[in-house]
Amino acid sequence: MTIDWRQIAAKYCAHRDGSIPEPFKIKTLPKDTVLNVTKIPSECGLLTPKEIELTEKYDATALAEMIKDRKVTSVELVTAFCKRAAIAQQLVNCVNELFYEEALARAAELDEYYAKTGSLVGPLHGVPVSVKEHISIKNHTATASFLAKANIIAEKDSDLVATVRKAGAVFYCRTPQPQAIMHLETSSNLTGVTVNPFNRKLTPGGSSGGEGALLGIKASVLGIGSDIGGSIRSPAANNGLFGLRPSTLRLSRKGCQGAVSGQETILGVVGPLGRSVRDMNLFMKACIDSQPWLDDASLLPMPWRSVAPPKTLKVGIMRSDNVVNPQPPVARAMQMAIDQLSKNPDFDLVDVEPLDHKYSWDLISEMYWLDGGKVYYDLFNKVGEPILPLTEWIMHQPNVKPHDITAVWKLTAARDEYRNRYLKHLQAYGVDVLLTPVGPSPAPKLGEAKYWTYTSVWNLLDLPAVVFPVTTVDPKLDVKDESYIPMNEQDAANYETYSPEDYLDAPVSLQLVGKRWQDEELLAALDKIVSML
Amino acid sequence: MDTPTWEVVAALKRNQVLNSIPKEWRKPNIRKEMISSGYVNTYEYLNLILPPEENAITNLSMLELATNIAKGNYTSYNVTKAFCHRAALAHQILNCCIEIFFDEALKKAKELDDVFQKTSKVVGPFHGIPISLKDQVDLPGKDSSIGYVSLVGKPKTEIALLAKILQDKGAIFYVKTTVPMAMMAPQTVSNLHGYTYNALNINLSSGGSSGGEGALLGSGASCCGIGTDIGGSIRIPSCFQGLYALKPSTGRISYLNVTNSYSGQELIPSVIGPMARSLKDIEFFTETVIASEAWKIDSKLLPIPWKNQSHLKSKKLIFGVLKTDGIVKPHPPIIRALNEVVAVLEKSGYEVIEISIPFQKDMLDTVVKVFSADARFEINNESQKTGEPVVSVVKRFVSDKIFKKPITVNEWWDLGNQVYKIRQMFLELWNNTAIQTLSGNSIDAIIAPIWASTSFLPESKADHLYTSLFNICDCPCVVFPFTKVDANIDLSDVSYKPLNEEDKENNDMYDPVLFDNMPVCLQVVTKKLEEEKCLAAASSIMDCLTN
Repeated sequence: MTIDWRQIAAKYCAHRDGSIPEPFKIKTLPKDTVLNVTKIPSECGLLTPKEIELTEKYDATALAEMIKDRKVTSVELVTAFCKRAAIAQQLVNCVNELFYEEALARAAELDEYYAKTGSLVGPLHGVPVSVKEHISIKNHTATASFLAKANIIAEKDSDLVATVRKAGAVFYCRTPQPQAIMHLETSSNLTGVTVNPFNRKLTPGGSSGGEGALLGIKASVLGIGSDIGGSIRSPAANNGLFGLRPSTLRLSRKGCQGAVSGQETILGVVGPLGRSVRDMNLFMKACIDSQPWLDDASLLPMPWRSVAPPKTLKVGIMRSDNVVNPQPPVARAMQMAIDQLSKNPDFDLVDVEPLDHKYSWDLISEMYWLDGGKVYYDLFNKVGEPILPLTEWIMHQPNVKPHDITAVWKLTAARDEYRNRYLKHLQAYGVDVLLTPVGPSPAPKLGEAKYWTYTSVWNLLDLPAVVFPVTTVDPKLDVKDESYIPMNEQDAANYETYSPEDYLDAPVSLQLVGKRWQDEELLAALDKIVSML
Repeated sequence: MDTPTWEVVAALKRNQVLNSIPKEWRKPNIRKEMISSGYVNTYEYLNLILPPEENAITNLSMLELATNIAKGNYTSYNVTKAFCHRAALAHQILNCCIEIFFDEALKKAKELDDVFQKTSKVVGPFHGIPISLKDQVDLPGKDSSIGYVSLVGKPKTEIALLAKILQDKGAIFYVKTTVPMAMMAPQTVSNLHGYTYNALNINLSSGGSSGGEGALLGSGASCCGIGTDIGGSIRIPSCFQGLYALKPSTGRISYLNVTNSYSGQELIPSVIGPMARSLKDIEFFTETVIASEAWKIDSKLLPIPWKNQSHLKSKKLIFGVLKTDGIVKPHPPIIRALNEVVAVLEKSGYEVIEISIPFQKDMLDTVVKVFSADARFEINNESQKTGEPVVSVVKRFVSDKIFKKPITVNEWWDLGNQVYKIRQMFLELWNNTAIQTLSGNSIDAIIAPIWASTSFLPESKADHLYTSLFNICDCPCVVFPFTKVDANIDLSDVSYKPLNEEDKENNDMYDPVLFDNMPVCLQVVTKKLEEEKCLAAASSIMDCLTN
C-alpha cells in the first residue's frame, strides 16, 4: 500500500529538526502575536556579541576580506551563521537542513589551509553560503519539495555548487521551496509554511523564500536561489535584500532538481541573493571566472567583464505595468528614487511605457505548463500529495493545457516576436536600464501572492533584473487613498487588500532591469544608483 | 472566377521570373546551346560567351571589387550590370533564381555612383557590391515563397535585419535564389521552380537547401551570397560548387525577418551565414556584420563583439581529422583530400591527430527525429492549401514514419534532453583529445568531410546527412575547397565491402568520369561561438597549401 503523505513529511521534518543542535534551540519562543522577529536572534541570548556583529554588520565581500586579513576565521563565521540559522528556523521555518558538523569541518580545513599556505583557495574562501534545496549538494536531499522525491539524496554537487565550493565557500544549510517550486511564496506539504521575519503574517516570497527569509533575518550573508518568474527577486524584495536574476545560459543549472528537464521554452536561472551590489558581483564573477562552459555544453562562453557605468546613466522609469498599479509604499519608493536621481546630473530619467504586460502573462503562464502539468500531477499522485491552493492557481491559468509540438513551436515563435517587439520599444527610448517596481505591493499576506507579472515579464524577455532595498512601510506616509479609481478588476482587488497596518515593518524594494546578456552593465548601473539613494 | 491550380500559379511565377530578365538577355535555348557546345560547366561557358570586360568584373572577389569601386576603377553600375547579366544567363541554364529585380539593382547602383561622384567616398564597405540572397531573406515587395506555391503573391513588408545591415553599408540586391520546399532537403527542387543544377556540372545537383545560392556563386554570377543551414544547407551547396562559406553558431548573425519553416523550433536552430569565392571575403563579411552590433535590434543575438584572432594565424593550431562518420564512407577523392590535408599540415609543422566520434549514429538519429517531430504536419498543411504534392526529396528528409502525428511536448522534452546529452558528450570528447595530443592540449579545430560525395545526380536518393552533427552541437564551420576530383587518381575501390545498405548505395554511385574535375571541399570546425578561430584555422590551412 502507499505510505500516507503525512508520514513522508513527518519523517522529513524529523530529519530537519534533528539537524538543529540542542544548544541552538531557543528556550522561549516568541508568541505568534510578535510579528517582527528580526531582533530576536540578537536578543535571545544564544549568540555572543561577536557572533551578532559578524552576522549583522558585514556583507560577504567584507567577510571575505576579514578572513583574508585574518581578522576572523572561517570557523568563527560558520559557527555564527549556523547558530543564527538554527534560530531563524525556529522563528520563520526557513531551513530544511542544517549541516553544522560538515560545515565546521570544511571551515576548519580552509582555516588550516590558509594558515599553512598563506593562500586562499578562491574569492569566497571561508564564506558561509546557503542554498535553495533543489540545487543539489552531494549527500544531501534533493526533493524539489515533492513528497515523491523525499528520499532522493544527491550523489554529487550540482555544477554551480561545485563551482562555488571550489571558490572556497562553506555550505551550511539548505532552504525550503514551495510545492512544485512554482509559487511566489514558500509553502509545501513537506515543510509547511515559511513566513517573513519582518512581519510573520506576510510571505517571505518564493520560490526562493527560504533563502529570502534566512537572509532577511541575517542568518545568511549570501544565498543561491533560482528564478523562472520572480523567484529570486520576490524573496529579495520582501526581505530588503539584493537579488539578481541573471540572463540565461551564463550560470549552470546542471544538477538542479526539478520536475521537468529538457524544457527550453522558458528557462529558469540560478542566481544570488545578498546584502550588496558588490556581493552580486562577487558571486557572479566567482562563478563565471571558473569558465563553467568548459564543462557544461549548454552554457555561453561569455567571460565576466569588468565594466564602468556611463558618465550619464539613462534610466527608464516604468512606474506601473498598466495592469495593476503599485500600492502606496511601492509608489513612494519609486518616487523617492526618482526624486534622488533627478537631483543628480549624472542621471537622465525618462518615463517608459510598459508594452503588453497582460499579453506577456498569457504567454508565460502557458509556457510554464506546456504539458498541462502532467509531470507534476504524476508526481503528486504517486504518493497522494494534496495540491495546495497556490499550486492549483498557477496550474489553472486560462491558457494551461497539453501541447503537441506544433503548438509549442507556435508559442515559441510568439515569444520571440514579443521579445523583439519589446527590444524595439526600449530601443526607441534609448535607456541603459529600467527602474520599475518588483511587485504591486510589499510582501503579500500569506496565501495572496498571485501577481507575478512585474517580475515574470523580464523572465519572458530574458532580461537580467536585480532587486535592491529602498525603504520600509510607514503607515503614516503610506496612507490608503480611498478615492483611488482602479484601472480594472484585478487592479481593484490589489488595491482593496491594501491597508498600511497589515504591512507594518515590511521592506520595500525596487527592481532594475538591464539588457540581455549584459549583466555586468546592469550591476554597474545599480552600483551607481544605489550610491545616490 | 476559379482559383488557379497550383500548376498554373507555379508556371506564372516561373514566367514572371523569366520576364524580369531584360529582353536582350533572354536566351531560351542557352542550356541546349551550352550542352551542344560540349560544356557541362556553366562557369566556363559563361566565361566564353560573356564580354571580356564583364568577365573581368565578375571574376573578382568581393573585396577586390570593393577596392576597385572605392578607387573609382569601376562604377557600381557597371559592376552591378555585369553581375545581373551573368545572373540572367546562369538562371536560364541552372534555374537558380526565384526573384529577379535587376532594374531596382541598377537604379540603386546609379544612386551610389552619384554619391561617389559627389563625395569621392563610399557609403560603406559593401558600396556597390551586388549580394545575392537566399529566398528566405525578406525584402519589402518581394515574396519569400520558400518553395511553396501557397506563398506566391504574398510580398513581405519588412526587410530582414541582415539585409538592412548590408544595404546600409552599400550592398545592392539583385536576385533571390531558389530553395527546396521548406528548405528541408539537401538538393534544391520544388514544384514552384523545378530543379536547380550544379554550376560546374549541369548533370549534377547544386545541393541544398541554399542550392540556388550555390549555383549562382559557382557560375560566377555572384561574388557573395547569403545562405542558411540547419543540417548542412550552406555547406552542401558550397561543397558541391567549390566555394568558401561560414555556418556560424546560433546567435551571431541575425535571422530576424528571415522566413523559415518550423519557426519556433529552437532545439537545432537554422543559422544564416555567408557564401563566397574567397576566404577573405567570408572573413570580411562576418567581421563587418558582427561589428554592426545587431544585438541592439535582434533579441536573439549575443552581444559578443568580433574578436581579433589574427594571432592564431601564426600559432601552430592542433587539428583533429575526422575521416568518416562510421556509417557511410566518403568517396575516394574526399578520402584523398583528407589524407593530403593531413600531410600538408604535418609538413608545415602542425600537429594532427585522427579522431573518431563513436556516437555519430545517435547524433544523426536525433537530428532526424527533431526534423520529423511534427510528422511533417507543417509541410503537409502548407502544401494542402494549394494541393501541390510534397516533393519526394523533402518527404524523405522530413519523415512521417518515425512519428505518425506531431509529438507531445513531453516527447519533445525527452528529445531536448537527448540533444543536451549529445552536446555534453561531444564537449567531453573534445576536451579529452588532450590525452591524444603531444602537447597535452585539446585540439583547436576539426577537419571533416561535408558530404560523402562531391555531388550526386539530380533527384537522387541522397538522404544521409553527413554534416548535421555540427548543427546539433552548434559548432561554427568554415567550408574551403581543397582539391579536385581526378578520374585518373581517384579510382573506385572495387574491393571495398560496404558497411550497410546506405554505404553501398553511396559507394555504387561513385563514377570517377562523372565526377571528374568536381571540387573537393572540406570543412574546418571549432567549438561553439568560436567563429573567429574557425576562420583563422581555415586561413592557416590555406596558407599551408600556397607555401
